[in-house]
Amino acid sequence: MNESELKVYCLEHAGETLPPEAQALLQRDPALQADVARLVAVRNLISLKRYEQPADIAMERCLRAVSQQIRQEPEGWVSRLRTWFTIEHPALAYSTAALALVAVTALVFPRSPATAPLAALDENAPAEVLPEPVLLAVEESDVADIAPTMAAAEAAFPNFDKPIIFLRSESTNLQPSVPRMQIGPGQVVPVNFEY
Amino acid sequence: MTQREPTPPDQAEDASDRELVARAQQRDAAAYDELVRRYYKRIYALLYNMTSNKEDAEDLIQDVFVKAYDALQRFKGDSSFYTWVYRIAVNRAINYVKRRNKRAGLSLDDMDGGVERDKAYVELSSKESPFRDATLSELQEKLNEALQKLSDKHRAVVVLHDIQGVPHEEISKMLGVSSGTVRSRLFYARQLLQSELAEYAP
Repeated sequence: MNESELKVYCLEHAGETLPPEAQALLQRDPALQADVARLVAVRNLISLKRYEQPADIAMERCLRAVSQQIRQEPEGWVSRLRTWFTIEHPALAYSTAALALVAVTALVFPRSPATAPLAALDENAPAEVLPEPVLLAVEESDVADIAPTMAAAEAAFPNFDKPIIFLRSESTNLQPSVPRMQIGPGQVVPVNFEY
Repeated sequence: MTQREPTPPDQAEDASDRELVARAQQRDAAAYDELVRRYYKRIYALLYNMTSNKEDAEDLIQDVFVKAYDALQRFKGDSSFYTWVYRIAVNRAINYVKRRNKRAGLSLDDMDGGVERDKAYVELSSKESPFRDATLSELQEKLNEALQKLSDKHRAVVVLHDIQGVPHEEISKMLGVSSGTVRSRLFYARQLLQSELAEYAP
C-alpha cells in the first residue's frame, strides 16, 4: 500500500479500525498521519453542506410547476431530439457536432474555386439565354404622362427586371446642366443622355 | 439531526419506483407526481450543491423533472429510475454551469439546525480548533466558494459522494465512468479542497 492508496483507504474507511499494515504505515510517518487527518477533516467539513436545506415551499412550487407542464400538450420532435441529445446523451451531442463540422468542411472545401478541378467545357452545349430587357419608348410630347406608365411598370415587374425607358426627343445642341429630369409632379429621376 | 437521504433506494423503494415508472410511461401524471415527491430533495441537493445557488437549483429541478418525463418513454429500466434521473440531473447541471455567467454569485439555503449537533461540526468548533471563531454562515460561504473552484467533473463526485453519500459504483453508473475514475477524481478534488480550506483543517 503506497501513500496515495493509504489516504484513499483512510478516507473511505474513516471511523473504522484500520488494518495493521495501514496502522504501521501511519505510525512510521507522522507527516502522513497529519495529512490523512487533514483530508478526513476536509471531507467532514464538506459533508456539513448536507444541512443546507431548501425552504419547504420550494418543493410544493416545483411540484405545481412540473405537474402543470407535464399535463400540457406533449412537446414536438425537435424539442424531444434536443432533450435526447443535450440531457440524456451530451457526449453523443458533442461527437455529432464534431462529425457534422468535419462533414461540412469536407463538403465545402473541395468545391471551393481554389481547389475544385475545372469542369471540361462542352462546346456543343447551348449558351445560356439571358432574358431580353423590357423597353418602353416614350415620346417627348408624352413626358407629362410618363408617371402613370412608370407606376404601372413598378407594379408589373419584379426587382431587377425593371423596364428600360427610352425618351425620344428632337435633337438639340444644348446639353442639360444636370443629368436628371422631372417626370410628372414631384418625381425626379436620374437620366443618361445618348446622342 | 438531519439524516442523509437514503441513497440509493432500498429494494422495496426500487420495486415501488418501477411500478410508478410503468404507470408514468402510460402518461399517468399522478404517478409521476409521486416520483417527483420521492426524489425532489435528493435531486435538489445535487443541483444546489453543483450551482451553490438556490434560485438556479429551483429552476433547474423543474427542467430536469419535465425533461425526464418527456424522456420517460425511452427509459428501458436497465438501471434504476433513481440512477437514470440522477444522470439527467448531473448532465443538466454541468451544461448549465458551463453556460452560466462566471460572475453569478452564491445564493445559499439556510443550514438546518441539526448542524450544530453534528459530530464533525462540534469537533471543528471545539477549543482546539481555529475554526471556533468563525460563524456558521462564514463557514457555509467558504465551503461553497471552495466547491465552486473545482471543475464540474470533480465537483460532481464530491457532491454525490461526500455530501449525498452515493457509493462509488453508483456514481460510476451515473457519470458513465469507471469506479477507479470516480475514486481518483474524489482524491484529487479533496486535495484541492484541502488547500482551499486550509484555515479550517490545518
